[in-house]
Amino acid sequence: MAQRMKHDLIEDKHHVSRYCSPITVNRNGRPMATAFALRNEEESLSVYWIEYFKGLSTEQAIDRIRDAFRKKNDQTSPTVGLPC
Amino acid sequence: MNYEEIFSILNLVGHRGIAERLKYLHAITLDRDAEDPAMDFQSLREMALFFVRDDVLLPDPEIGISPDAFLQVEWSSSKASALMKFLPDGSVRFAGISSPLGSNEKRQTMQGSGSKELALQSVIPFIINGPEDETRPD
Repeated sequence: MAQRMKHDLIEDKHHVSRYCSPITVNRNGRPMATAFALRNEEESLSVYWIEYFKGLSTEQAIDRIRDAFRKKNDQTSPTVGLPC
Repeated sequence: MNYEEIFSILNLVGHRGIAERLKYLHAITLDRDAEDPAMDFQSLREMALFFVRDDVLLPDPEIGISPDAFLQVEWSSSKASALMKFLPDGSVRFAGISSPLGSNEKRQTMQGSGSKELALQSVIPFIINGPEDETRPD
């Protein structure tokens, strides 16, 4: 799992992913605008920097993030299938 | 009046898709272990009051719950997107955006807050400009 790098600048060409809970994903599985609203505990938008996982494809990096979520909480079922 | 009664009313007046989605959202937020906030009842009531009006002829929106537990409805297409967030006091926060990145057209944006009437008039141009709207019924 990527370590926290708050306030680091990410290049425009890079990608990020964000945990989208089921109440913020539409019927087609796409993130809604609510997915990008700050959650109560957030001071700024929390995302995972895909390119941090050097040598991995986007899909592989997202799998790593999913795995980390599952280890963090077995009941968590993150829908982070698309970097957005 | 309770949650289920509101879902039933929406279903009875022809908003079956909205009612089913709300039932789903309500069910998953009832799980006390969930990190998601429970659906705010007053926000639900205000949203229902909006959609049961005879003069509101909009395609069924996508519906979500914001981190502060209020209901938010969204319409999106390849040309524009609009949203309305129903606050417990009866007012609405709304926004719209047109022309996706890469389009040659100039992007238009709009946001504000106010009455349901103001919100409706403000978001309509961002909904009807979306002929390929994926949220519209088949």
